[in-house]
Amino acid sequence: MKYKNFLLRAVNLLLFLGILWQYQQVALVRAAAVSQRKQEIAEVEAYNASVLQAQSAAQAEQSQSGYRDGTYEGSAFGFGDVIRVSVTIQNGKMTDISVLDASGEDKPYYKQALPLLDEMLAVQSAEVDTVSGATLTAEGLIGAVADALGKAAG
Amino acid sequence: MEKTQAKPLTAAQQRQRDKKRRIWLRAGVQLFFFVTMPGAFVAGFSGVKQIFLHIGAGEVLSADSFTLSLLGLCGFTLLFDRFFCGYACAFGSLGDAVWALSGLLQKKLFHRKKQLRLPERAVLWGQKVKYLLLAGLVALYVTRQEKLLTGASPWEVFSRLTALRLPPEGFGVGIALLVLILLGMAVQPRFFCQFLCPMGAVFALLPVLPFARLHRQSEGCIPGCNACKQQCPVCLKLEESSLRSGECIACEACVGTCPKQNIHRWDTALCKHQWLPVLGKALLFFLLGCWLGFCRFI
Repeated sequence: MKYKNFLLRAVNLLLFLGILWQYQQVALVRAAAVSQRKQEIAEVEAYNASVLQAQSAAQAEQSQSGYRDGTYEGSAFGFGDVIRVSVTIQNGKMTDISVLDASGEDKPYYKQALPLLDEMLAVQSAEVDTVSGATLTAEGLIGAVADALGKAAG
Repeated sequence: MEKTQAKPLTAAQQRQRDKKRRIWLRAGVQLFFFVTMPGAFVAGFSGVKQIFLHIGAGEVLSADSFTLSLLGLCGFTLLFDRFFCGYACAFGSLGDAVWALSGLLQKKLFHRKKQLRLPERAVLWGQKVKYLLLAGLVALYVTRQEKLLTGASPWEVFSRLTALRLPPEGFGVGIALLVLILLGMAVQPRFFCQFLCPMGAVFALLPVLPFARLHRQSEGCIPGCNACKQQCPVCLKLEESSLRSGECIACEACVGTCPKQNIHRWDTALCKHQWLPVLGKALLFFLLGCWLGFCRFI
């Protein structure tokens, strides 16, 4: 038959896509359950944290991170060129990271590495793991933030 | 002062000229994509990696930038055959360049007329290796052991070189593999693409639309002629029933070399100028690549 080859491959591809679709349905149901559970846990933890915070606030007003308030610029080499970021410190805490220049990065890789910024804000440090598949861009972002934090520490 | 009238070319001379032009046209397109989109093939395979990493972790699949790159490349291949492999992939172009260079060296230094290349049996066996490699990689991703491979990817080393950066420490295995692959590229055209490329394995399994494939009108062939197979980097003779037809990387070397001009695709049959379909597809792919963010300058 003339199109045997094509049909064979088409059927295989459809089968594969069908399996992926089925997997996606299961994963969606699972993810919904997980997120609900996480929310419950978060509520409990928020309550715990608020109690702890009330205690510790009484002990020490400030003097923790050692970063001086202000906005600091940092830079490091990414994939194609230098990445520049600016880091804002308020009350000794890192509150904002914005990218000033990442023109040397290929877009798919850059987008893949962007969640790192939130991660670094969450742990209040530049010490996070790189993103697999976009290692160089991730290393650039991390390096730039570390550079800025270095300046903030004086 | 009489101008010597240029003699009209014979059919054979005309064919020879067309063939040369075709080769230069292809080299130009390849150089263009090598400079503008050297990262496209890594982004495409990162899509495969992303999907199976998600599955391994039991997470919901998302349409992130790598997955979109994969879908874009596969969609383009379904419609236009493996134009990406033949004309746009930076690693493929590297293979062609090394092969051409090795041919030149053998001719000038050792006066070899016929360039050294692997025997056909070895090639046919080698072509199966990439499917094993793809399966192995997928297995590693699903079981989340992909960290084992850090530093071993010759692609990663190459993509750092195209970014004009030296590979960092811990990439010794990757560098060694890249050197071995470069040596392989010198003894077999498209060594990496046909034997080792996991993205090539994905493309070869895709159901490329039948009319988009190169097609040989075997009724018109000279009995015993093997010209197309001699030129073909992947040892294909374009038989419709062959399961290996997916191996075709759409380099179109056979189209220019066929003495009877028996090999066509819908686009080459459609228009008289040979460069129009190629440039048309190159433009389409360039637009798609820009949209997916492959281009380094936009």
